[in-house]
Amino acid sequence: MTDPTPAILPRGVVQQEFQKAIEKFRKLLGADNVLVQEEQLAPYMKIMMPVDESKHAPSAVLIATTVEQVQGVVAICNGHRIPVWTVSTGHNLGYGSAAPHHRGQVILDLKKMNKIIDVDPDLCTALVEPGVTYQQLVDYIREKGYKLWVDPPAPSAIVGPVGNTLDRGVGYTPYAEHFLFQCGMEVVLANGKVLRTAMGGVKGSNTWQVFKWGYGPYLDGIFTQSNFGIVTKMGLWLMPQPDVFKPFAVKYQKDEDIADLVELFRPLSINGIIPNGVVFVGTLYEASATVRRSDYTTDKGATSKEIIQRIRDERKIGAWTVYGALYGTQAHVDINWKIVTELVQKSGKGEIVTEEQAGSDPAFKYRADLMRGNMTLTEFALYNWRGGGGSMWFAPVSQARGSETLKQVELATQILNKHGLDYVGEFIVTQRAMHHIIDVLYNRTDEEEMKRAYDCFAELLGEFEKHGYGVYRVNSAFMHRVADSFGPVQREINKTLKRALDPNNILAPGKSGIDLDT
Amino acid sequence: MPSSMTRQGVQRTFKACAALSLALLSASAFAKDGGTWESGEDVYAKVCGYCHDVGVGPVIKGRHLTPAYISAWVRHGWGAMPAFSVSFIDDKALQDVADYLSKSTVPQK
Repeated sequence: MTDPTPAILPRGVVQQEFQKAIEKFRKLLGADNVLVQEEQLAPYMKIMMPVDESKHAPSAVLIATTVEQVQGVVAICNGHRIPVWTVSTGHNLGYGSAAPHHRGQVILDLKKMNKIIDVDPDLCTALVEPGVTYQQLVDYIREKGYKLWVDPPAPSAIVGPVGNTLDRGVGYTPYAEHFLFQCGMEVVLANGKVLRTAMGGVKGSNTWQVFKWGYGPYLDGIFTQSNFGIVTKMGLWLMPQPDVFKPFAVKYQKDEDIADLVELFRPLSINGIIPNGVVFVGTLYEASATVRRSDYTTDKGATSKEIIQRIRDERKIGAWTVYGALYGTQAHVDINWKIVTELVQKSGKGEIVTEEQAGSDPAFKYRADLMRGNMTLTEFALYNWRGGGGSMWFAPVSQARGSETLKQVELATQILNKHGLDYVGEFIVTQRAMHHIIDVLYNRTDEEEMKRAYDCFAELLGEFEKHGYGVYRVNSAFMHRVADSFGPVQREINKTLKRALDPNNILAPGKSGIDLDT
Repeated sequence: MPSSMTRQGVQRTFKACAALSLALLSASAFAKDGGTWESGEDVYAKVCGYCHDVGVGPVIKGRHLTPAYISAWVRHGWGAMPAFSVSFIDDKALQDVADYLSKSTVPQK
């Protein structure tokens, strides 16, 4: 293979030094697993953020398949000060995809490290490598005949538990808070040592995947949303398949209903009647499964209230649609269904929709699929709302109170509309906390709209911060900005940890705003 | 300050990729250790079909799309389409799914 003159180099690394490192990577991984040609790097350039791809272009991609190879990569990167951005499936869509935090970082692709090391059908645990997808895990469980469920996020089939958990992603079944249901990690540290967290450190122990805490400081958390190590194995808990699964929706007609709804459903979430996150979906989010904006208008700018009302009327979509599900034995579900329906009826508003009543409604079907851990990619229909491939998740967290809802919707809508974009959002109540999930959708092929989207996202972050809201996760173009909003002491402690664990700053500098050079 | 990838940039990249993709498809560097794909139909069912069979992405069965065209879209992920690297769908599996699609018929509604 003849190397092109590298157009892209890691920050602070000269061409000759980079070439030496590439030769060592080839020796370690085999030439076929060191990608430097433009067409090979193309899949890793795909971003949905409103910045030029060149800002996040990798200089090379390394494909590793073993822990020893990951250790070897780390050694070479230390020797030549090469920054390395690790991905598992590379589909962190709306948060940066596979592209590195900044131009020139080498991507370490662990997709082919895809062994399902263990699934225990009695203890309902699994131990997997980073490249394992939810689809692969489901296929394995089916093949073995185990009665276990997985809990995927919306891009289910094309992402995996390790990457999603490490970014503290969430799903839709009762096991939705992925980091809560993670148990035990194997981590390659920047000094090349292999750490097994918690009970994984005890020789001969068989409790690595059943007891999270181990002894001493609990370390797993510092390897999530961070750049302190490369996780090469992760344990997780799987949900036993319930006898009965009963998904349902409740439709509400008025925008202002949302405040009462959160008050109505929060107790059902806290007391476990509805054990999965209760989702309150706004009109355009719900409509995206079946409607494109171009069905109603081709005008640029924000969609008018009149059009949104027409969509509600013509497509029979509520101002808010609540989704939840009941899980358990028939007796269990019957009692809880009675509690839910009586509560809704007593409130005097809301139209209950069961799975049977929903029929083939694509929006209900994909929500039901997500709440039972089925593979579905229907949520990608959001990207058709405006088209053009632009998407950023804006996801502030608040208390699960009705009083938190309308003011957030009004603030977000006002900012989005000002920049010619739409409020496409939902709330998710998980007991005491509430995530407000807004997809900032824009046309990435329209340069002017892309600039508006960037400014819009920056303003959303700034204005919500003024009101005391922080986001739970953000795309790589805004990581430093968000790290600032969590205050200087958190930034400093993260830097202190970085200095101690990765003094050469080779592991994903910039991730979550952690970088010794800035 | 953001700037943009222009339409011309997209088209240029597409042309470059389309020209190269036939060569890529003939290689099978990762065919054996690519992992989990049993056939082109398997790739379609477990990746493509989740969007292209349900109206999220356009119908691609029965359209006689060329392997080069399919490869370019899969590797670049333009617009709403996610991109898939060679580590996710190896070149052999990509060839297989292109073959599968070339023999497919338009789905019945």
